[in-house]
Amino acid sequence: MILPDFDYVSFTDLGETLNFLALYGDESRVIAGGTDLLIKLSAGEAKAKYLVNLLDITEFGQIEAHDDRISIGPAATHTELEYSPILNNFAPVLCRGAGVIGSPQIRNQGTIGGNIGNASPAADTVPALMVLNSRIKVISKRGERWVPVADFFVSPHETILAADELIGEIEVEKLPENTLFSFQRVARRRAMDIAQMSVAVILFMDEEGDRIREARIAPGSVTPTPVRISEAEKILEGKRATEEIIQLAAMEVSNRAIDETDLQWLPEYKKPALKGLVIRAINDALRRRDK
Amino acid sequence: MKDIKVSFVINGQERRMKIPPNISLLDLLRDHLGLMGTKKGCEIGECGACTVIVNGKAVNSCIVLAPQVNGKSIYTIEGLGTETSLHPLQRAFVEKGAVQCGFCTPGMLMSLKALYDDNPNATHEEMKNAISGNLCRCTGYQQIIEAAESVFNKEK
Repeated sequence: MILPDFDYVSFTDLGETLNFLALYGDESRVIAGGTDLLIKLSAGEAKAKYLVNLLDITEFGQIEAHDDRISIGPAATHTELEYSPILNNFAPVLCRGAGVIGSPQIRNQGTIGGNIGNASPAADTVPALMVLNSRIKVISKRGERWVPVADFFVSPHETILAADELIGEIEVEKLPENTLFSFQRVARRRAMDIAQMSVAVILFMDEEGDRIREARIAPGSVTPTPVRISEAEKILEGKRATEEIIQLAAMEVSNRAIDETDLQWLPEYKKPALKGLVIRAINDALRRRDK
Repeated sequence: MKDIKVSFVINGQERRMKIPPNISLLDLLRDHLGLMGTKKGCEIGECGACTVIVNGKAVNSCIVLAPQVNGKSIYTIEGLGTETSLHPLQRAFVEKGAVQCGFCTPGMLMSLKALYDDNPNATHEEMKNAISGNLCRCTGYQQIIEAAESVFNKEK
């Protein structure tokens, strides 16, 4: 691999990293797993005078449960997310999203911070983060700010991060155990493929387990930046999950999501395929109720 | 561009060296350490021919930045067995005809070795998953899985 010239900088201390970025952020790219960045550098699609390593920052790899939130370090790998006992108990939809990325090798190397920071519309952790009401802590020498995940993305491959800023932490909602969820995805094959479309769903049932109290639906890969489809969620809420209601909600997801995008370049199959995918996701989530 | 001082353990041996900052782990292994067993395939993390084990995890060495392995332990195919004493996985590959052109073989073996070290009682599905990021263009997957099956689950 032929990479352009750059200098490599690595700190174990977060403060030193932020100091460096405050001075040289404009000329720097941060690197975690590097699974996307190295390819971009090699293809001439990215340039940097300095590559700033984030993998050695101690607190960046942790996954910790708090009262009602889970805190995830940006350098946690997809494999770590997939097998984290905390996440499997309290936010399993994120484990499923992380578990379908690339291949075992990519999942061992790639990080959640990188998946978010790259801002690909096909990022597989993002629909899960959307239904988990996640927030991202943006940090720099100037201070920190918390941003809802939906507001983090500006356009495909562009985020709100300034040159001196980093993703410092990802915080997701800690769900009651056995909350109904599903993550579904369409790709040409299972391994080493980028999602053509995906959807994450969470359903909270009423006490009788009969009606849907709250629904959260976030499609992936079909909109330029991530969205929740509140119109479809409202169709489900307060209702019994009949086949008819599920069909209506799925149709709404498909219509709304496709409206968000430029129809001209969107292949015709996407609309019915997305509807079908949402039906599959809602039914998959409901099946967990019977277990 | 300033060279970077790195120290790491390669196939059980500690190494300290100065390397250019802008090389991949694959190029470090092949061009700087002379370890040619790790193969260079697609160089974009798609084919798995360059798979090595870093701190117990299988990774694509073509898209690992070499300076980032500072302080880590790396295993390549050269560390798996010797000509006179093959690793059980290597012996099984020979016995089951799991090697055709041989280009994917080092990567396949390292992916399976990572799984074996983690869980020697892995299931058929887990073995398939372990090599899901390794392409074999001779399409000899069946024999590779058969070879793995003959090594895993020996303790049962």
